[in-house]
Amino acid sequence: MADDHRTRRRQLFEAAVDLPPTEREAFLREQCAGNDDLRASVDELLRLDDEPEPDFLQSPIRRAPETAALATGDLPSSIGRYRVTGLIGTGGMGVVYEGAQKSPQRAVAIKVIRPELISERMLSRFRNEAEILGRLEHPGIARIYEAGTAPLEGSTTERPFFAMELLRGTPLLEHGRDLDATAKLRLFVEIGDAVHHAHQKGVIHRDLKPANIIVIPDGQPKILDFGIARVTDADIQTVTVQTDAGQLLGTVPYMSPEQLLGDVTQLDTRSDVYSLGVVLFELLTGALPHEVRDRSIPEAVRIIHDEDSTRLSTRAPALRGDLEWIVAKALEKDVDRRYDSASAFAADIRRHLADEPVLAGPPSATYRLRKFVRRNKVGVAWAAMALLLLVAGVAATIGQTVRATRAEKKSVRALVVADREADRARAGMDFLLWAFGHAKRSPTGDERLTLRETLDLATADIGERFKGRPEAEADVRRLLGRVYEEISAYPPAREQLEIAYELLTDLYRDDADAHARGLVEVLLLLQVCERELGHGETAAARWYWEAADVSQDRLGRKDPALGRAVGAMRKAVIGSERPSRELLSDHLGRVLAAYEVGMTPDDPDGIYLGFVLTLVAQSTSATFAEYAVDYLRAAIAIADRMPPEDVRRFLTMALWMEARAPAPLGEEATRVQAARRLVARNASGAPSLFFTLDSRGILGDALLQRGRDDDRDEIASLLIDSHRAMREMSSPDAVAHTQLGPRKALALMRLAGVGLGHQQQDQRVIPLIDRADVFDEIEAGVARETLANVLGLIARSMLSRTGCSDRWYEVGRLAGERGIELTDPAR
Amino acid sequence: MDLVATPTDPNVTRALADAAAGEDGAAERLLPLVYDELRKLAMSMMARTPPGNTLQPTALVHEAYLRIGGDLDPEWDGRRHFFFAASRAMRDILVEQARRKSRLKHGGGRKREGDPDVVPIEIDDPVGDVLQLDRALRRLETEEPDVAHVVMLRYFSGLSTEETATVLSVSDRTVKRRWRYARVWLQDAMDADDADDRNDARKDADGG
Repeated sequence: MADDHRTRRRQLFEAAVDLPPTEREAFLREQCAGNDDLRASVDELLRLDDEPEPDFLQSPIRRAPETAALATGDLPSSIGRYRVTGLIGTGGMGVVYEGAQKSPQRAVAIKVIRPELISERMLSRFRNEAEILGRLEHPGIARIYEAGTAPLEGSTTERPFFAMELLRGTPLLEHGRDLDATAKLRLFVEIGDAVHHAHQKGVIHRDLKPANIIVIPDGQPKILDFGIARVTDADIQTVTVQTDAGQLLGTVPYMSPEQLLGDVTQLDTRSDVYSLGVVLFELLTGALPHEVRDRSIPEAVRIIHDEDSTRLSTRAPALRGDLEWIVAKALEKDVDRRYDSASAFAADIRRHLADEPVLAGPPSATYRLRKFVRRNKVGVAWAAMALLLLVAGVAATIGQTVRATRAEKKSVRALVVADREADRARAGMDFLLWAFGHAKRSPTGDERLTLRETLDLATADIGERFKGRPEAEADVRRLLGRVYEEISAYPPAREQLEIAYELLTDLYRDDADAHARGLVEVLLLLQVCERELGHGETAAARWYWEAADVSQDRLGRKDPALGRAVGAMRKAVIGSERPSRELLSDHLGRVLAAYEVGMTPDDPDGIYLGFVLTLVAQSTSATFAEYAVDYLRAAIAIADRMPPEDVRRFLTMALWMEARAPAPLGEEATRVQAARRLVARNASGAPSLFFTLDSRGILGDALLQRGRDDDRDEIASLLIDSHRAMREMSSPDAVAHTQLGPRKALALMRLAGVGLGHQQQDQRVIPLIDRADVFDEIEAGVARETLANVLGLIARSMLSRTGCSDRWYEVGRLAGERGIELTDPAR
Repeated sequence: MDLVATPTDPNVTRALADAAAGEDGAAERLLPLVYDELRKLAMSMMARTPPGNTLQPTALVHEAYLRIGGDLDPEWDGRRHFFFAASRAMRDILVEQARRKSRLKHGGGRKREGDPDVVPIEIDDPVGDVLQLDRALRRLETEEPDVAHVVMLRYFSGLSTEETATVLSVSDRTVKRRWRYARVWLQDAMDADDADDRNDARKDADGG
């Protein structure tokens, strides 16, 4: 019987709620005839259904303590002339109630300002501006009916409140989730127009954020709380007074830099333009241009004020181009470079939608430089030093504290530039600033420190400085490892990287998304170190297979089929039996097919596939070199479709390997092509000194292998340059180059090969190599295995020509005397 | 050194497979494992969260799901079991937390710092809603289990309407309808619960 009642009750409720309220009565009367209990209990359910979503079914997320206290107090029965019918929620500025107005009869939202925000100044402004706010009338703006004061129940203190249009809709970001980019832009243009309307009436919003924009069911966006921040100064107080992290979370990321400085007189409509820019960025990408949610307030302020915002295409590669510049123009830190109105901003988006040329464009290089200068001029002394370092590339001029060779300067500059482009720009700059600040305070009082000494000093107390902050420590150690690696100081590089590796391994376990890239970079650097330290392939292999593990893991998360295909490919390659070329190319085909299906072509996560392919190529190059090229080409093809900053390191590596690998017969031209790209990349900011120094020599080699006689002049020039760069590294000031010797030797021998390996000896080359100490230089720098390699290389280039210098047969003889067997890596 | 994502106890994977295969008792075995995973996750996420911030149960459950490898195979049949187990575990955690809070409020012992059993999830439950909800939900489970399932998944695992529908293999509309019923049913039950409390309080007062 009880069961029957329950079943009936549910059936009737579910049927009745779907009926229009007017038809319910008749329906229920008929269905419940003679059963008053049933009728009463169904009525009760229907009554409850009419109430707003009960609080207890909200996800159990903690509210800020003071607002929680406000919220849970009993509802006042009325505020001013409004009857309170429910609680809508609590926000930074106070509590919002749902209320009803008698005449005209309408539902309203009543926002009661938090007592902490009230001051004399605020009250007087409140009285002045209340009327203006009431005059804002635009379909895109929630109407403010009244701004008044009234005592809350149980108190005699007057509390300011706003009575506003009560709207039900979906928050902007949630609504945007189902829209494509064009629909989002159209929606955004409407928002821009609404903001412009308010601006023309002299009202600045000052708290524009997605939470303040809803989309009502007919698709109209509505901006809430217009002008309220101006009346209450709630925005400024967030930064200067409040410490409630929860509130910061919602507001600070959308504030303009000038707003964050808290100077009210500096604020104009362009502050709203900036906030709109952030809103658009988040609407399009789901991410913020400055990720400051986990930061303290002062740090968040510093970041938004000082750091370049993330480029739109970093988060959404498909939106490269016009839109990227439009967003960047709205997000300009300098108000004068921003759109001067919300309507200009909206108009540029309209132009973009109509495929017309837009006003915004990429900033010029000089402008960027000026911007950097301006930003840093006001900083403390060490910031100015780092600025000099960056702008002039003159480490040596920094208060004469750092002497460095030209090559070092170049690499540091390249590093700084490159790193600023990367996501981790902050850690990079901070570290450099800090390191050079440190150098200035050298305990020995020695004002003349080399770059290497500076780094060593800076390294000493990292553990202490970053205690309990593993992410920051990992960042800095990774960077240090990189700087050391850039200047070829491999033992300290390895030391830093190993610690970074341990930290990142833990961090990765907790948050794979955030740390995969960092971990992969560290692993790649570690394998370079092992190789450079002469620890051999096995030691290096440990790291790059681990990098491959992480990459495969990432790919598997992105697309399970791709993860499995990559796994199968790797298994084939590392298996005990040498796989056939057919099997390998079959695997490669499967992997690429899975990639095409599982990822968009320009998906930034493609980087992991690039890594794996490059690493597979690297690990196979020793055993079956002729297959490796296929993998490299696939990696390069993938890299070419991705944002350049993402693929900086591995594309260079892949190009470097392809340029060095022996090309299959008849495909020598592709090797030259790869080498040329490598040289071009290095000219525009090398990721590593190591790749820079080698690239011209590699191009020379590639040209040699192609074997065209008319390349001879270019080859000679390249090798002379390469050799000069090497020799320059031997200045007494140079950092410790553990493996510089072999490279110098290699450069010299290449040079000799081309300079002397021809009937008409190159007159530019002779004086460079025809020196008594040449053999010493080679032998000093070359480990036994390397010597065998380089000699083999030279031998090959000489064998194809006639009339080689006797001197170079002499090299072969010397090698033989020392029991070194000449091997040719190309064979 | 294995960095591929297998941060989870292999037992979890096995129990999930068993549960998916419909083996008796597998779902029960799954619960403590998922619970453990959630607790570890909460700890590590809390360590990375600035003080004063809050863990969202939703984020926790989804991350646990990813860790267990749920997304590696979208067709995986264990997902229903996982989300039920996770909802169950999250409910236990929240209830336990709310009880502890209410004990504290009534002069009970302070929680020890670093107590390994304390899951650091801050809940917004100043008035004991969670305990009340738990009581009401227990009744709902016996009376309208299909409705209770929707509440479990939506409230404790934070699944959306669509996700809930997928997990339960029913239509979105059905989920919406059950959710609507759940709302009023629970509200009704909790109102009755409140009334009982008041009666009890009156009796106490009368007795004293």
